[in-house]
Amino acid sequence: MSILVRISPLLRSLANCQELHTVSSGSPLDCLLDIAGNHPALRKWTHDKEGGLLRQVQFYVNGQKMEAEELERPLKDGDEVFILLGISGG
Amino acid sequence: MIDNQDLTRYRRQMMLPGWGPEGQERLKQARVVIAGVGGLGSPVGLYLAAAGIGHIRLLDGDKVELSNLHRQIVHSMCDIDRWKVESARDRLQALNPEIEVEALGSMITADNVFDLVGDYAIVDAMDNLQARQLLNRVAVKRGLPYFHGAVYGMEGRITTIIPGETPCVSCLYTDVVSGDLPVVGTTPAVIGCLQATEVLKYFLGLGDLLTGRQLIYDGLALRFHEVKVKRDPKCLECASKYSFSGGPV
Repeated sequence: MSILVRISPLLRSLANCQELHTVSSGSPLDCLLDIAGNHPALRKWTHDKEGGLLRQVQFYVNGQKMEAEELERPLKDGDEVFILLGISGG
Repeated sequence: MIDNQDLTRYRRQMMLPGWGPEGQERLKQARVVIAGVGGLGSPVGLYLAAAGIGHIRLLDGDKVELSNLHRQIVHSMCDIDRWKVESARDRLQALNPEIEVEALGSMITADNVFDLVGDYAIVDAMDNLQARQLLNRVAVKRGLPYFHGAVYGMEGRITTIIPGETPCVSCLYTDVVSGDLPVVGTTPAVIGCLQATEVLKYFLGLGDLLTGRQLIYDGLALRFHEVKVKRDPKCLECASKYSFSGGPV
């Protein structure tokens, strides 16, 4: 099983990680934790000090926005996950 | 009515099928408020003025600083310490003296936002979520089109909001990243030009608007991604105002 995970340009600039990652299984939240395991700087922008997911993190699966209650739903082979931060600069 | 000078000035854009003198007249009658005259508001203002949007209202409560000039291209060195709305108004009027440009140098608050916006189409070129949500509230309550853009670093977002048909700003964002974050001048240039494109298409009735979709600009990889966005049935701003079949509740 293979899931492609894309990290947004802002997030990969802040965490100094690459754009595309392959994850073998899990939920959207598991994908983030998997990648953050190899890129600890990512967690500063996605999780609080107690390990809770920050509300500024957004997940899309196959181009569809995931709501909070959908983040632990298992993904399927071939799914594509896009992880971004909410932004408001002008 | 458009005159001979308009026919000369706008000839090349009026050649586009579906535009013509009738479309140009619609732009001349159009009323647009640009909220924020910074990185996004600069290209939005310049291109809407150049295209002949007849009534442009600029909102911003800040003055021009040296550190703005790498991205806020409507302002120049000689404008430092001037109110941004006055600097931008002068630039837009120099570009196109045939249009009306209002400069309102107020910070947007819950008390004044309805008066500041009136019934104008809203271009969201703000730099903070709180002001965006206030503008969104006016758009939702009054059914005004809302052209949303946001940037940081080499990333940008854009979507077009039609209240009742599409998600509103509050459906899209629960929170945003904060702090002293980078921004590259070309990023708001890309997104601001796309916002201006959507405004023109809206008034002309051309093509397909970016509704129910969000475009994500990745300047690092030089790619655009499109994602679907949907209304939040629990949205505090729009869920009680519009039914999920589209009409008012």
